Amino acid sequence: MKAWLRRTGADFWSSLFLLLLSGAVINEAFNLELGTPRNPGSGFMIFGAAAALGLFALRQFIVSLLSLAHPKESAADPIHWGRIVCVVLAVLAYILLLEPVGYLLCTFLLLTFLFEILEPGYWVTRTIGAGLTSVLTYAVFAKALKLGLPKGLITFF
Amino acid sequence: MWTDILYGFKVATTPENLLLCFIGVLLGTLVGVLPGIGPAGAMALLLPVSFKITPVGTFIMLSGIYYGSMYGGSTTSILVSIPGEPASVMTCVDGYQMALKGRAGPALGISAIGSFIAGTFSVVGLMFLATPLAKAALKFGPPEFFCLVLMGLTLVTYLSRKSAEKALMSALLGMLLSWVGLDLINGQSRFTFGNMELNDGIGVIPLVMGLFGISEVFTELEKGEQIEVIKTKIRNLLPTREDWRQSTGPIVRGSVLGFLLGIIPGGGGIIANFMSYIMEKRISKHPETFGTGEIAGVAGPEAANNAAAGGALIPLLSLGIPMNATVALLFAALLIHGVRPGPLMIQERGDIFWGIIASMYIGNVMLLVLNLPLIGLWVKVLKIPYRIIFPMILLFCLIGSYAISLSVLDLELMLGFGVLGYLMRKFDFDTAPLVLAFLLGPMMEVAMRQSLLLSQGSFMVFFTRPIAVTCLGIAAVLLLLNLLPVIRQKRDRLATVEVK
Repeated sequence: MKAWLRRTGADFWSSLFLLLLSGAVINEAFNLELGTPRNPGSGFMIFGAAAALGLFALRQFIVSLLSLAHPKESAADPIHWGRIVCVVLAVLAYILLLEPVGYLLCTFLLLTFLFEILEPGYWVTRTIGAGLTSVLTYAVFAKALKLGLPKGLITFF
Repeated sequence: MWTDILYGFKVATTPENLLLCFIGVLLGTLVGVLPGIGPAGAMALLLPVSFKITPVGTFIMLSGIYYGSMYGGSTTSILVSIPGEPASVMTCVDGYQMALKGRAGPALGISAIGSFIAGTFSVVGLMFLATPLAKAALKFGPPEFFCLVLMGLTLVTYLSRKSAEKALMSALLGMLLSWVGLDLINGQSRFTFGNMELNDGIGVIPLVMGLFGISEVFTELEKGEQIEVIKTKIRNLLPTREDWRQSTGPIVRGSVLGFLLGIIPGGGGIIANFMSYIMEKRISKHPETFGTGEIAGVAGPEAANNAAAGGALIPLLSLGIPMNATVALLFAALLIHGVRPGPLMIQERGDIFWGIIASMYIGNVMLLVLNLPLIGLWVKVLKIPYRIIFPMILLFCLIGSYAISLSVLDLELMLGFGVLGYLMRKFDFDTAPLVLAFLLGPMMEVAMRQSLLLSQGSFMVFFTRPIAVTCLGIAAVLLLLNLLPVIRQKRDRLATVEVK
């Protein structure tokens, strides 16, 4: 399985994804109604663009399938999942907690995590830095520029 | 015209606009110096702040970031051999060699002065060409507009540094994303999945912040390298007489070449920088000296990328069509303020057009002042660890996206586009065509449907009007060139050589 995955390469997966996506969009375009050339409907241009995307994706998919017989080195750089997944999950948690918990606390927690992720250690300095940055940015954006950042649990500031 | 220019200076020299110009060029230089965030990312970060200022001020500040980054990119190229901006990639070759020989000062000096001369030249060109082009564009109807946009998108994909076929797919994906929301003609909901917030469509700010800001952070996170700045005293920033003798020709040639390349869709600073280097090496009496610290290899490319920045504003301001991703953000900024760039803007909002022209003169002078005496400061900036910079970029992206409509959905979309942008880079898809197509998609759809309504369903309307059929013909030729295997393989080989 791993060997087969290695051989398939980036183009196989990207073209498969785009092929499936264009199929779904074409289906939706028919639901929206294509109309006629005299009176184009909401799905008219969507159908055209999705069909073109599907054709290009199909061509690339077929080429990548044929190349399975003669695998060559994948053109795409390998994806180093670790740090990226951690940061995405951290930012997602931040987004979901922002309104109930509030900007100050969420930002402090997020920055503490992010300052640590590239080079762990010196957590005292980084915690203080995260706290100061949260308060400073809140003062600038929420108080001075009057952007409506959520207060959440900390209502007195 | 002279009264218009004086009016422009009157607009540009208000205290608020002068301050915004200064902030723009300062941020642009900073962004140009720092690898890992480009002018597009910085402009995306500042788009929400632009709600608080006037349309003129917004454009002055953001365009300052755009041409300011061309100045800043050369500093990192010369001192670190890493291009601060893609538009300074060829400056690394001879600029770093000059620094190794103890001539970092003259390299930085000629780069700044050459950029100033070229920038001023391109503003003059913009001043003289934009108005007549805008007058011609007033004759365009929906069929002409549709075909022009189609040609522009096809050119962008043709000139993509990566696979042209993937660039086309990227553009088509951008178009599909632009049609999420209410149909502009009959009000039907499309791809909203029952979410009322999506009726207004996908916001341009979450999209560009995600694709440029967040995805760049993810890309740099993978590397996590610390930059090593060359340890040399930077002396004698003013070039010698001999330096001037060797640089004058390249600066003049680079200015003209860069300006013309900037007008072409998808062109801009990157191609101008590259082509100027090739040209100077070809016409030099001693081409073997290129790559060993030849000052012409710094002067020409740096002049070219700055001239291209001015040239790229011509299609935006006179036709209302942005021809590269960074200029597309300027387009988005004006749209947010309810100003539609194009031929009518020059007539109806002369304050914006002439204010921009005048501010570019002022901005170029500011940049010369910023870049020569403050070189030491920019060197210190280069040493700030990336582990401090990237959380701040992420935080500003989050604040900026949330601040538009206080919507968590915008944050989710931004994160999603950040992941998409990162995966597109890994899978070798160009993100610029997606952004351009996203911005132009709604207008393209309206133009197409209006054309068919006018012609009562006949597609011949695109083939019987001279401007429309010319644009269609060019688009068809470029598509064929993109797809013909022999030509595609040659382009892909050239792209591989360029990347190496």
